[in-house]
Amino acid sequence: MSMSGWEGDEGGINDVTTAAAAAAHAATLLEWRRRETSVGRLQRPRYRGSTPGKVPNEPRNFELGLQCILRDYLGVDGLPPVYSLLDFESRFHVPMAVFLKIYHAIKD
Amino acid sequence: MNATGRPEAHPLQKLVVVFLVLGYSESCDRADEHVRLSSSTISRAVSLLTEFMVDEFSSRYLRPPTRAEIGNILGRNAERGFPGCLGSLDCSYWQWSACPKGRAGTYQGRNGQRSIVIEAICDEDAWIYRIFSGSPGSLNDINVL
Repeated sequence: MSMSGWEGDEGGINDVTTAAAAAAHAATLLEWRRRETSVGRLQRPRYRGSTPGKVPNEPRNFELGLQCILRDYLGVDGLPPVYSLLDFESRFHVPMAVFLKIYHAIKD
Repeated sequence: MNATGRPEAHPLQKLVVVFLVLGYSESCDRADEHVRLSSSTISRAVSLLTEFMVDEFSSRYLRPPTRAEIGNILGRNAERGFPGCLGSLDCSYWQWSACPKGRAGTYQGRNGQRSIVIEAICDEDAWIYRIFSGSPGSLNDINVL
């Protein structure tokens, strides 16, 4: 198998055009999705949020949930985490490094 | 604390919960016990994070390989004794539990379950350069290709 099949003079241009087409397609799909969700939000009856007569939210202890996660997987107060990196990966199907990368992307 | 003065969940909780839901297809109200988030919060976090991931990472990861990368792959494979080889291909069968009866024959997999074929091509570092799913499970790997 030779490499001449894809290696032409327009090869570089082809790469750029393919990438541009893929990006444009992804952008179109996202735009559709946004439009659909926004239409759905307009048509949906406004029962969201706090409404008189509805049961209020439970006073969940958000702090406790955070503390549990930190204790179990990251370690807190100088203690080692309860579960190892292997446990983390098998539980979330994602390595810790990738997870933290996504987390920092969200924080930014 | 958020703008209304009420306690607010930390982003780390929502991220952990989203990976529980996506990774193990756990239902949205299951993780309430130890992560302390309501099911509506969780389902909203899942869809928001999915959109965020596409927005943030698709330009970097969801793209065709550049010429430099192709050259690199070809060079490494030539060193290993496979000149001109772009990657390794394999198919996996993913069970389709909600397959309609009328299509059951077409999607009949090899293990007695209805399934869909996922085909992927990756390089030596397990970077996937092509992924395709949707072929009926009755096809063998060679037919999918």
